[in-house]
Order: sequence, then structure tokens, then C-alpha cells
Amino acid sequence: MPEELDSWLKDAFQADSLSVDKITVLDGGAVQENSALDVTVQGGPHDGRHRWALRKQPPSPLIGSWPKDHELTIIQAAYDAGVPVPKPLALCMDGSIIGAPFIILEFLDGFAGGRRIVRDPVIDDMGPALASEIGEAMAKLHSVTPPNPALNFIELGGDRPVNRRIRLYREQLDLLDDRHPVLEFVLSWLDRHQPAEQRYTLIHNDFRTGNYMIRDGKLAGILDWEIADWGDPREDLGYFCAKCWRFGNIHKEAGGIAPRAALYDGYNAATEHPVEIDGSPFWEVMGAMRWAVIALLQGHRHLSGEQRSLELALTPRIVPEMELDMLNLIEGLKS
Amino acid sequence: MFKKPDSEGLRQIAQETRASETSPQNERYVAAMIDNAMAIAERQDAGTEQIAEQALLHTIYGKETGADWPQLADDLRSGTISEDTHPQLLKHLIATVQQELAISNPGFLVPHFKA
Repeated sequence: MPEELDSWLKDAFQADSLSVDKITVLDGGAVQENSALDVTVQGGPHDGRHRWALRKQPPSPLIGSWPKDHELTIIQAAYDAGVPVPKPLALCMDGSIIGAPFIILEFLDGFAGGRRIVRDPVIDDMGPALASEIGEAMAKLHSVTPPNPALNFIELGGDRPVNRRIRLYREQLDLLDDRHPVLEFVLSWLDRHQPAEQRYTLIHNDFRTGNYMIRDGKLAGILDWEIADWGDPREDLGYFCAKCWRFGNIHKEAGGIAPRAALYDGYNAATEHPVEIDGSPFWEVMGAMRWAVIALLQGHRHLSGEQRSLELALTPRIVPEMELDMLNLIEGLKS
Repeated sequence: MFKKPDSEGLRQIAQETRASETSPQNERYVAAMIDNAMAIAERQDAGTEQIAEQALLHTIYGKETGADWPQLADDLRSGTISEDTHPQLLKHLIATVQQELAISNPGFLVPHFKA
């Protein structure tokens, strides 16, 4: 593989010669395959030594995740909107080079592990500022709206955002062998309680602690764009604040790093479409629903024999945690 | 209804994983997953009665009707069953989830606070 990769990179980066000096496999979670490449380039516009990130198409991607060419286009759209993301550098759809399509991105220093972030001593002091930076990044992302010719591969449909999302979740639940009454109850509740005013923007769709990198307590970049979609911008805010993504720091509602208000204040300072923090519980139910559906789909990959994995097999077992969070939120809204 | 794989399926994949090679950097994580899978399987085998689920089905459909979990899911989606028709529905659903959590993660049922 290294020789084919060297050769492909040499052409892609218009180099006279190029060598990959070191490949380090990075932790990409249950789905993604990521590596860091230490590269020496001679000649051409990229002459010098570089560290790049390589994201390879996984053997069995999550349902609804984009192929690498679309993922790169989405990252480019976010980059162009001023969102801190790893700069997109190159795309290879030829599966023969390393066995699957891949993209090359600028490598970001820092760390992304959710548990590590919420337990980092700097978070006590810097968490609110970090959440504000994240809010600002979300607002920039949400400035990308349809129609957008570069993103016309993302279907919009005629529904309102929440109706569209509920329909997608029901379609995904129907792919599973078992039925899930609690999730059906919550989806019907979401249907009946959705806000009157909704709008579509580009959303990350998996925007949470664990999917951004920090360095010295500050935001370094947003990662993992493979399920970005059109949706209501409050979906990203709600998902970020959902209790299931606070990594045990449940009283720091914004991703376990800060009070909810820090995220919303940062967001509202950077958008022409401010959002009300009072509406957060509805969108946090939506957020918990998203993770519950994703977790069941991940478990299905194991159960169907598509990818046997203990990590995937255990994932559905965390769904009752989201179910209880959602039911408690719904109960709380009654009082 | 407990999420799948069932206890036997969990044991099987845990044993397969134990027998396979693990990179040194992932050893602790994988060992923790194996312990977790075995513990869930043990708890599930020790208490298979799904009392809350039966109570919910009996409350909604009555006894001896043979109504099951998939039917409830269908009726909740269609709106045939809702809090309007069954005001205690939410309370019953919470009980079924708590019962499942007692198997999959009992620690989640204990209020947890971090200063």
C-alpha cells in the first residue's frame, strides 16, 4: 500500500517526489478508519514536511453516511463558511490505492475524546469560553442554507425539518428486526409538540463533545462530517446539550463542558437567526432520539453479521439510557 | 423487551473478542467491554421476568389478549394508543425502561452528581 499511496499523493499534490515517512492509526471510534500521515514533499506547491489526516471509507459505513466525495464537499462548504474544520486537501475515489476511497485533510493537533475533555482541568475555567466558541462555529455552519448547488446531493424533500427527521427515523427503525415502543411513543410526541416555526440549514448532525478537537482548552476544529444533512439548526444545539453527550458531567448541560447558556450566547452572538434557550428541551429530546436510533443501527450491523464486533453488539444496550432521558424530559415538560 | 443481542449472543461475541488479538493501546478498553458484556448477560439470565412490560400490555390491552410489544409499537406510531387514550402510559413506559436499565446499566438508575 505505501508505494501506491506515495505515488497517488505525489500526483495529487503535484510534487516532484513524495514519501510517506510514517503512518499512525488514529482512534476513529466504532465506524471510521483514520490515520495520520507524516509526509515529505519535494517540489510543487506543497514542498516541505507535512502531517496530514487520512480518512478511509469504512468497510460497512453507517446507514445514511456519505461516501467520501460528498463528505469532502460538505467539509469544504463548512470551511468556506468559516467553521473551524481540518482543511480539505484531496480526494481519492479509486478503491485500488489503499483498498477503499479516502480523503486527505490537514492534521489538527489536540484531542477529541469526550471523557478526556470533560475531565480536563482546564475545562472548569475555560469551558464556558469553549462552549461559546462552539456556538459561534455552529452559527457559521448554519449560515449555509439550501438551495446550494454544491450540496444538491443532499435531498431536501417537501416536509418541514422535524417531519422529515421523524420520517427518516421511522424508516430507519423499520430496518431493524425488533420494535421499540418507547421510541415510537417519543416520535409521536415529537410530532405533536414540534415548534410552529422551523427552517432548514446545513447541520452537522453529530455535533457533540467527542466530535471536536481542543488544544489548550480552545476549539481546534470540528470533526466527523459523514452524516451532515439539511435540518433545523436547533437540532445541532439540542444534540450537543443532550444528557447522553455530557459524559457524566450532567450539570454542565452544554456537552459536559459549560452551562447551556454559554453555548446559546455564543451562537446568538454570531447569527442573524437567534434561538430561544427555552425551546431547548424539545431539541434535546430530538438529540437523544438521534443517538438512540444511531445506536440501534450500529447494533444491527453486528446482529446482521455485516460486521461482528463487541463494541457494536454492546451499543444497543445504552439505548435505554436515552429512552429514560427522553421520557424524563417529556414528563418534566408537563409540570 | 431487552435490546439484542441476548445474553447468549453477548457471551459469544465477548468470548470471540477475548480469544482474538488486541492492540496494546486498546487492551484496557476491550477488557472493560468484555467484563461489561458478561455482567449484562449474567444479570439478564438471573432475572428474565419482564414484569413492567407485562403490566403495561395488560393495562392497555387487558389480560389474555395476546397483545405484544410489536403491536404496541404499531399502535403508538399510528396514534391508536397515546396519553390521551391511556393517561398512565408515560409512567408505565418509564417503568419498562427502568427494568431494562437494571439489566444493562444499573448504575444509571442511581442519581449521579459531579461537583
